[in-house]
Amino acid sequence: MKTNYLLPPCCKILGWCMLLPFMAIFLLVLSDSSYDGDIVMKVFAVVSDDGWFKFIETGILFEIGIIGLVSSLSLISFSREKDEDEYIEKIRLQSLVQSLMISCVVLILGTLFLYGISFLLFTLLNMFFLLITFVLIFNIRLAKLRNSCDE
Amino acid sequence: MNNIIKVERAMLNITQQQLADMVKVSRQTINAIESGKYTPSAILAIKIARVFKKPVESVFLVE
Repeated sequence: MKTNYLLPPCCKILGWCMLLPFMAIFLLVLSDSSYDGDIVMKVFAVVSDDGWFKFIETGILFEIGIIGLVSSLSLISFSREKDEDEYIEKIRLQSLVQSLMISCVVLILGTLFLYGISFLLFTLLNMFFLLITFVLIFNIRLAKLRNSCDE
Repeated sequence: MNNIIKVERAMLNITQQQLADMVKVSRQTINAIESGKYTPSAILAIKIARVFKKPVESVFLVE
């Protein structure tokens, strides 16, 4: 049976190549919100401090970082393996379930124990947590599978 | 679920890789099935049984 909802294998390489620069941009802006090198331009905002459906002038480097990071993690997560078959599909599904469970636990713990600015920072980082956990769990299990195959 | 893929492979003198190529899966999948870590889908079980020219229920044994 063909899995046609996954991206071609080459997208995974593209995702890994995109990950580092976008992660660097994201962390740079996150660590220094008044970063001098920000790209300021007019953007359309559905909701902003000025009201609904208005054009506002703002720095977009943080948005570029977030979109790039989500795109690269999605490309890595949802690309087919070269030798994708039903067993790897099963590992993919199990990894997704495990990462979802871990993500839920972390979200609950974060809500319980983090307050103020720390909680805001946590919610920001939590956006990527599910994808990062999935990529880690899936690749570790895949590596273990490939290493443990003896005739 | 147990299986006798390893025995059947030995009788046909084919490797895991050759069997994997015949049924169009990875060698890791054949290895996982042989070691009982993974129960194959009905389609894959039929494909494997066809390689050995045996009925599915004689290759895959339900405990």
